[in-house]
Amino acid sequence: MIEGILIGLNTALSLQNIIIVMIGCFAGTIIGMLPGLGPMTAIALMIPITYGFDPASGLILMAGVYYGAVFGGSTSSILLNAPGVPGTVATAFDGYPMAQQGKAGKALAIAAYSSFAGGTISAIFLLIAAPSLSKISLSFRSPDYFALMMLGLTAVSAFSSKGQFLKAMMMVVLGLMLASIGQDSLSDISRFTFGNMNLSDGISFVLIVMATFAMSEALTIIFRGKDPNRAAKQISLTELGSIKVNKEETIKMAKTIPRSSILGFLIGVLPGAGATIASFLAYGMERNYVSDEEKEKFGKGSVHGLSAPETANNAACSGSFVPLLTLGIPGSGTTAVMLGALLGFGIQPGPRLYQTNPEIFWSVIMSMYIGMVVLLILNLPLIPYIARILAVPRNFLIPLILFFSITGIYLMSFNNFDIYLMIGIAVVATFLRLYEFPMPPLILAFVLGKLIEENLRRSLLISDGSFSFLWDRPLTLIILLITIGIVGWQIYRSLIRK
Amino acid sequence: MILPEKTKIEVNHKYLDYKSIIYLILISIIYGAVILKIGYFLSTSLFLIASYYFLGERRWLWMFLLSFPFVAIFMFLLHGVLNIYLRDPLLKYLGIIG
Amino acid sequence: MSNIKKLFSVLFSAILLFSATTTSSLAIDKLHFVIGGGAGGGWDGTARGTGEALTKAGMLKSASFENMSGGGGGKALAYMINNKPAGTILVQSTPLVLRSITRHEGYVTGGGSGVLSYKDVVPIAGVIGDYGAIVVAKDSPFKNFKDIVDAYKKDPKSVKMAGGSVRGSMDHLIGALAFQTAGANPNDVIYVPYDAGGKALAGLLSGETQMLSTGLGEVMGARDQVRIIGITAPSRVSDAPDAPTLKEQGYDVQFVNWRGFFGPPGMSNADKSKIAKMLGDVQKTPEWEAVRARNAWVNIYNPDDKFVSFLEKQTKEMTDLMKKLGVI
Repeated sequence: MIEGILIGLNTALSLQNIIIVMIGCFAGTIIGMLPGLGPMTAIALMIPITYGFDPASGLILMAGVYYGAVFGGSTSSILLNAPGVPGTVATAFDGYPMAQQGKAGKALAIAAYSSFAGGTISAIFLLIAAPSLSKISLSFRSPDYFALMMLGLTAVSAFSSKGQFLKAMMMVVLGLMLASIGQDSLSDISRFTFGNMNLSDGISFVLIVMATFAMSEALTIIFRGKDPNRAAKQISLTELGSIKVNKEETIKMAKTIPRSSILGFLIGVLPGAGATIASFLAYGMERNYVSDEEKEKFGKGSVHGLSAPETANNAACSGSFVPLLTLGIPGSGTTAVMLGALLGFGIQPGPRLYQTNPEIFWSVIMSMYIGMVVLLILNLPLIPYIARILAVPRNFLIPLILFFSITGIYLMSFNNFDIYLMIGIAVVATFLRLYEFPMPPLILAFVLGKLIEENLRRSLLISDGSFSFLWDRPLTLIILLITIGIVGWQIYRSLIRK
Repeated sequence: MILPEKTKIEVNHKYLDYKSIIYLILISIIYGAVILKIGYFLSTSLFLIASYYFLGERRWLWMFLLSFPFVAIFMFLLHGVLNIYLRDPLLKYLGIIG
Repeated sequence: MSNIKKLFSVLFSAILLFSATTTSSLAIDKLHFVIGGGAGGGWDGTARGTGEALTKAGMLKSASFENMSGGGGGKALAYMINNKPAGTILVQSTPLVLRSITRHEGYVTGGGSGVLSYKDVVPIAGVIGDYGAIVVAKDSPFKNFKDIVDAYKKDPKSVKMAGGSVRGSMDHLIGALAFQTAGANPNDVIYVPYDAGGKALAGLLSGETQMLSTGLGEVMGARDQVRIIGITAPSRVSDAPDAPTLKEQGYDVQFVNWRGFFGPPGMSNADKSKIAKMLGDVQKTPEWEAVRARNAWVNIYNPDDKFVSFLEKQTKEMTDLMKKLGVI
């Protein structure tokens, strides 16, 4: 292994590859900020360029774009409530409230440190255990995914404090309903599309997020603009741009980062999950670890709540390289494009990759460290300037956010129906916000609902219609028991308190 | 936890800015309707200027800078650098894009 | 002597140059590709790859690519049918045939057959193909397709077939076709759909399904983990020489997922032939070979009328099969 690391370092530290990592990270960060343009599009468009390189450099560039995009996505999540990539949606839950309290620079810094730590720690896992981790990739079956997604749904409780439970549940139901629109993922039957072809692919996750988060937030600011109680607070620019993280916050991050890294990495390793699920799960699980006092802060600018998903999504990105490199299985669209590129280079992923092309495997991992350092160096000095976006006068900022959201959606499908759909959902969401309905449960239910349904029905198909799959395998049973335990514990706690 | 909150949420409709929000929604819908017809460049620039205007902005220099040149740079990055095709019959007619 | 040689070569190149300019001024030198899916997908790769080869080989001056997602490619198809854009071609593949058999009525306003069908656009040529593959895990007890058929005949529920898309999709039909040829009722085979090829592969390797029916291209990345026990090609393919065909095992199953190009309705015959010829000629160039090799495509150049009759034949076969499966 030492030999491998040296080979990797040698390749990754060549001047050419360092420049490539920097270009990749920078391009990824910019592309990641714009909703609708994710790492998948970026990498697909870059493939023609990478064929001019040797395979290691090509893969290093693609990997750089990949985690650069996740890094950049969190910036727009925190500042504009407009997650740039799906993996950074959960970052907005606490990052945006924190920025609104005038601590934008701090929020961005916490996100940057967490991403850095998550990426670095998981690259170590990748380094020492990638071959054996491929077994984890294959240990999860449909019933286990079903159980895992049910566990993910318990994160809803994070938004149901202070008697908000009923509202949170209503938003969950709405999210599940929206998730069922479109072609049924198992039988090809159109559901709730009203014969409209534009709905037959379902509503995209990014569209729902942009409508309920970014666009409805922008509309709400205008809508309640005359409200004297909500009059724009004077945000001091020095405070806005300050990236200083105090001791208390550092301690909080130090607690969150290790557990979120491990969780995020493991979820990333699973081909049926990915960075988005990892960040939601990390967010939900984090709330179970912290004190009651800290629990109340979730959704209102908690350091734990910001750090956990940011750590997990970067860790999950690294994790997704395990099935890609050791098995040749792409877990997401992005890794599928990367797999295609690898094959184009004539490289066969799999256990033999260590023997046939050791320099590929090791140099990609080594370049991850370099990439993480580059991203941190690139981003930290820029934070004070980027954070100043929030100091842009409202009359300019709001139209620019609307432009940003609409263009983001337009770039995904080039279909103006999606623009109408987004406006419609955003208007409904704006009125729901007026009555303090929380939006995150809707998002959570939307993304998990699809996966829950799919995996449940697939499990039933495989078990010939019997529900015994729920307890047949220890893994399924354990995850389900944890889920029941969390729900039961919370009900018990609330009864005790009364 | 399960029972709904007793305290009522007061929404004072007097303070709600219905006028601005309806303008913004209308402009957005019109933007969606013309984006494919007159093209990305003109529709986006006009959308931005109109939104600035209806929100009460009158600094014309900034309004101009943050629309036409801004959109042009943005389009150049997407269309020219990233090779993402943006439908724009107007610019095509003028021979600026292929 | 050498002067005469020089003179000849100058004259000759002048004539060449002249003829080249005359043909290119008559030919189509710009093409706009409409892609019914996002960047990174199969259609996108086909269009961008073909466009790249055409421009690099000097057959086109420029190519532009427009992604138009929605309705599983239906949005782009409807755009071609309703707007009839000039100098524009659409990339499509086998799902177009399946689509015209099954559903999606009433999406078209510009006349035609009333469903989104290949009959409403002008088939130019099929260019590349991907064969279907029946795949098991490396440690599976099934060594060839006959083993699977035997196990299935003993207990139809013992073999669960995974695929990377919904019931009635291409992945399902490939497996069903193979079982049908083996004398089984394809409707009794339990098909387990996943939402992507990679996830179906993970399902197979996790042991929850016993076999996977999908495109050969989908499993090339995981060749070390799986055993390909039958492909639906007429003979073995050069990119996977160790993968036996179903035909050589006595099951005459042939299926190719073609990818090809279509013009808008009303495209002139002259234009159609020119583009078809161009798509055929480019396959002989090294520029195309570079693109083809890195994508592991199989050339199946199939122009004009041949393409139309192929589509008709495929429509008939698939209609019969889908009726048996009860998906239509």
